[in-house]
Amino acid sequence: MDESSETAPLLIPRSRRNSNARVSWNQSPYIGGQLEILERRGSVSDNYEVNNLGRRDSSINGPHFGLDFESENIPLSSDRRGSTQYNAINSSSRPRSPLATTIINAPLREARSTRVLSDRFESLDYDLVENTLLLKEEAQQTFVRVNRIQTQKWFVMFLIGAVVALIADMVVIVVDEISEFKYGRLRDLFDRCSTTSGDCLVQPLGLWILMNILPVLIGSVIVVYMSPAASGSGVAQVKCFLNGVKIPQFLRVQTLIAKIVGMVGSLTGGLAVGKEGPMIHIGAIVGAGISQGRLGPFDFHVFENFRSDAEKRDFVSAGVAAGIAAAFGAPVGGVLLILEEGASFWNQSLTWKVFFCSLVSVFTYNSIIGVYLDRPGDLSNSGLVNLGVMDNMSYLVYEIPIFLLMATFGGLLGAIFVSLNVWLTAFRHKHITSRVARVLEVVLIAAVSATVGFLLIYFIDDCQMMRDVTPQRTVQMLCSDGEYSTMATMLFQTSEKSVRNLLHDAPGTYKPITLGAFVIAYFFLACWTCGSWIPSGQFIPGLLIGAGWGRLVGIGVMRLMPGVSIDPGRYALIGAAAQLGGIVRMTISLTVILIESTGNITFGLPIMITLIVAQWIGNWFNSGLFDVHIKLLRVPLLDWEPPPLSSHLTAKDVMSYPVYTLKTTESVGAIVDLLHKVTHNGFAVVDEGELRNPLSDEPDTFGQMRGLILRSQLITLLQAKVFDQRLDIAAVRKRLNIQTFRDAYPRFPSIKSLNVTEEERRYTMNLTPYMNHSPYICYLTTSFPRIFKLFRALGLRHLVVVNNRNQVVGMVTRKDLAKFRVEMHRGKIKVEELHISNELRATTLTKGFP
Amino acid sequence: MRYYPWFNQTIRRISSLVYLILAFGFCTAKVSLSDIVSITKDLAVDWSHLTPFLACGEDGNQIAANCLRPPTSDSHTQTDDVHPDDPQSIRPDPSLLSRRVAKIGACQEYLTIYGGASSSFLGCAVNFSRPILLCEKCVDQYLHSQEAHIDYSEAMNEDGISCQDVVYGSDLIEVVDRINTSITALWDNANCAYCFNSYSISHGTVVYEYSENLITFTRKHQNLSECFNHNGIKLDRLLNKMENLTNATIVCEECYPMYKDLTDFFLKNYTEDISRTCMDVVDLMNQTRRMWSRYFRCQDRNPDMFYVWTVVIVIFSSTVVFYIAMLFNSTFEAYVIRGQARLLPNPVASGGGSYRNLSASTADLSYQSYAPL
Repeated sequence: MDESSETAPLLIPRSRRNSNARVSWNQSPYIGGQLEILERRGSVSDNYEVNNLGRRDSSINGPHFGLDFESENIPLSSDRRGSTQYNAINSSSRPRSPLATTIINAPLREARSTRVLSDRFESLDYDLVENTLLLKEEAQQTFVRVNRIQTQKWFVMFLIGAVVALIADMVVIVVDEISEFKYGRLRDLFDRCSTTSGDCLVQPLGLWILMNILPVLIGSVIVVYMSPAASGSGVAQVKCFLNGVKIPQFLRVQTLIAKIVGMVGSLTGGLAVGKEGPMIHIGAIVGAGISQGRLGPFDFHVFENFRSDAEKRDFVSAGVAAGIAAAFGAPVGGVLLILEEGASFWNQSLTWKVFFCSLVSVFTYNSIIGVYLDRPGDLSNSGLVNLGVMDNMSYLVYEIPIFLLMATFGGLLGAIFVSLNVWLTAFRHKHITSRVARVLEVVLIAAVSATVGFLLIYFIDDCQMMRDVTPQRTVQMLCSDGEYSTMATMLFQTSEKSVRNLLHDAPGTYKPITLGAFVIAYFFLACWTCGSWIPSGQFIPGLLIGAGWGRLVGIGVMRLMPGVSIDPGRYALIGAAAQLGGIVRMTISLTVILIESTGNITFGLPIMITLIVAQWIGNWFNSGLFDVHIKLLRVPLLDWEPPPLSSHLTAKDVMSYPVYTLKTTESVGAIVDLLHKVTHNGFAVVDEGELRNPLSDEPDTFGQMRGLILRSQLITLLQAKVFDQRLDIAAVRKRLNIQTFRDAYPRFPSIKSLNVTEEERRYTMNLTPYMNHSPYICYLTTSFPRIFKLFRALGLRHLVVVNNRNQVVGMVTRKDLAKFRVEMHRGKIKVEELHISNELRATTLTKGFP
Repeated sequence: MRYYPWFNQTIRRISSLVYLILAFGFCTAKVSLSDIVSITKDLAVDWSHLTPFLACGEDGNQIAANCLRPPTSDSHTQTDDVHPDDPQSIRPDPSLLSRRVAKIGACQEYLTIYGGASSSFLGCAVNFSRPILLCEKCVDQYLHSQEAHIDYSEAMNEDGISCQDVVYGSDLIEVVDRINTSITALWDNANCAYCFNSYSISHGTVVYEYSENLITFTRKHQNLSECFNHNGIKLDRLLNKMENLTNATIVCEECYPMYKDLTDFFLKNYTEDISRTCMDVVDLMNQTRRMWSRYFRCQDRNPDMFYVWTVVIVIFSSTVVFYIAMLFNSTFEAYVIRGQARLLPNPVASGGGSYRNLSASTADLSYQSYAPL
């Protein structure tokens, strides 16, 4: 096998396996190096007990590198010293120890296998680099300027809220108009063609399919070809971002355009999607974009103080809250969602600003919608309450058990939804990879949605007398004159209006068969649509499915208790809450969102209970939809808390060793070569000194720690050519201020775009003024939970490990911590150690092994 | 004597409160001084004459001839034996009352006329409630009742007070108003105004003209009914009992053109705005439709579904074919695992005392820093 190709095989070739020392590692595939599996595996046994978290057994002998596998069908080699014997794991002569056996090759064939983390995600830099430039800038600042920056922050928050609301308004209005037109034409055609003399029923079907396919095609093409990061819901990526992971392409302007166009396409295309998830993503992009003061290549040179990851994170969370506020009309719910997701960096002043932002968003949104609905200035219009104001929201104590049962059912259905969707998304990742295929899939989904809708209308014979509804808004289909088909009425409107109708219609509007068929069909359609390459929100589908079967339960209760007058709309609301809670497993923010959307707080307690129970039931089986998508994306996410019972692990066990270091005065050539060689982002800056201590038993150190410098800083310095040997070095140094570093943010040029002449390679650079003098450190003996908490709470990207003489020994990054993942499955805690991979690669592996 | 300062203080407080209220009233209500004087005089007079009535409530067992008890049958009263009150006997002397409680007098006549007119309208409306024909048939009575109401409200009694004030001022349930409201509401909800081109009443003569649409509609409906009768179907007004369903199919075929004519006419002229449609027409149309579809079961909706099924099958099968094709297009076999640099303990020593670097031979180590020039 060709070892130097990009698609290098997983096997360690025989020639290199003989010596137990000649292993080269730390060579990332980006530079065409070889890849080897040098992962030490913690546990081999089937029962993933917690105490197997890499506890070392002293009986290990020799370098053991290996992986373990779940499936025992894969032919493996179990070998200790690099012999060429390949045995199956079961037939290993060695007794199974709880430690790693040497198994060389582990093709984790399952696409669904989430035991791998992807290498392409990097952390955000929340840590402020405190170097002399920062001090210089701060020395020139006055309190007046500090005040001005604070005022700017409020102003930016206002702008974010207003812009997000404007975008939401625009989308809603456009979708409404197009839907009105589309469904109006369909209604006419249906009525005309369903008579015996008309006899052209294929025409409305064809038109429906066409009117579904067209917007979806446009949206999907734009998403797939312009910015694939705009597909899906976006909530998963926002969660990752708030956790501190940089998702590529997530906050770009082209993603924004693709998201908006795609959202309009998917909503007008009649897919089983909502607009809330995409609004969250759009809010995040708007928040990031406005706060940076630049739009793509145009730099407006405003808000230059906010050009850092930490500030951007605050504005992104404000944008997310504004997105929810505009989508649901729920400002407090938006703030709570951010709190639920990003609590590690939360503080009170941020709460206030984010709340202000979401209020501005709601206010702007309501004003414009009021004008659109011909009631300008009437901001207390109840029509603006998203799901309609529900009166008569009383409930009695004997209804609570019914609500609990509904919550259980919602949790179960949600778990089923999530697992089906996981399977489907894994299939998509693995099999549907060409762009044409992706667009084609979405188009097929649109066509099938239309067909299924038509079949529902045709087969479900639910005809209601026309009351005060004019014939323009109803479809007669195959009903007799003077009646209309409820199924058609439910399908020929946007999903939000359907939810609203299910919550508010009078008892007796729907027959059970209508609701049952609709729920089943919509459930599978929503599950199928989620994850396809078009912007799709999952909130409204969850609400709609739940409202459907909730109303069914309400009808059932009505039949069971004939004397009592029961409003099935309340059961629809509880069902909606249960289903959505079962799918997304968000509790507090969802409660508040639902309370605010329905304008009624009396029902807050049942909704809360429902959501909590649904979440518990759902978590018994699997994680929420967004968490599962994050796992499928292989994002190295850090939990809220360190894995339990992991105090025996110390920094020694998880750190990267050895470390790439730079001296305080380093040659340019060395720096450039290092930057080319590795993809690391942070380098410890050390004093010159001995690199290893051959007489000691301690691990070799890399010098006395002086600081930490980032790749972005190095590249900026190289670009500015801050070389010591330059004649005008003093002037260059004087010119250099922190703004230079900020200007290059966020897309720093890559090292490949830099040109360094041969002579310049011999120059040196003094890194001391620019490095971070006091990076966060930990000691060799710091326990794993402590490192985890430090990392998580401060949002670090690198943590330097030093020994008791302040010499650099190792480095801890996010992936080292995220490798230990805690999972709760069927009530049991499971901690597993994950592997790092850089991509799902199409390899040329043959079936057998050499 | 000890309480004297407290008492003084209370008096002072109450009087200042009263001054405050009067000043407030003075400023806000722009009540002039003369108004205050007259109001207080009225209040004093009323008080002197109403105290006997008020005294009834204080002592529940007191039965006095001048106590007004409401003639209700439910047991809200405190005493067992209730004297049915005789309004005439206990009505106080009108001349002693203030002008706010006036006498009925001549208004009674107008009230009687109004009562008669409104009851005739209500009777007519109930009579023609199924099917709704109250617009067409009761327009006479409606206009009479409206005229009577206007007469009554404009008339004055001998004291120069309008009858409406008289009745309104002493009537807690506002009987006349409520009845008038329900009559007008009935007329408005049935949108009767849109059944007519014009209607008017003057001095007891009613003049009205049906709208052309109504006339045409009635005629077309007449045609349809004749067709039904012709085929032996007798239309019962209330549709309670319908006989003779055996020639339903014949009816469906023969009367279809008339039915279609009627329906088309209705859809064209009457469905733009439901709040401006004469309810007579709508109700009659609903009834006809119900009869047509539910009773006769004349099916008009049986389109040919061949092409539909073709399209459906094509779509579903192309989806299945797509996914199966995609199943063969697998793009990855395995993950490419990246190795991570780690420190391992020296396996020889127990307890992990000493550490050994992974790469013992330093020859081709690639992590070394470069020495500067």
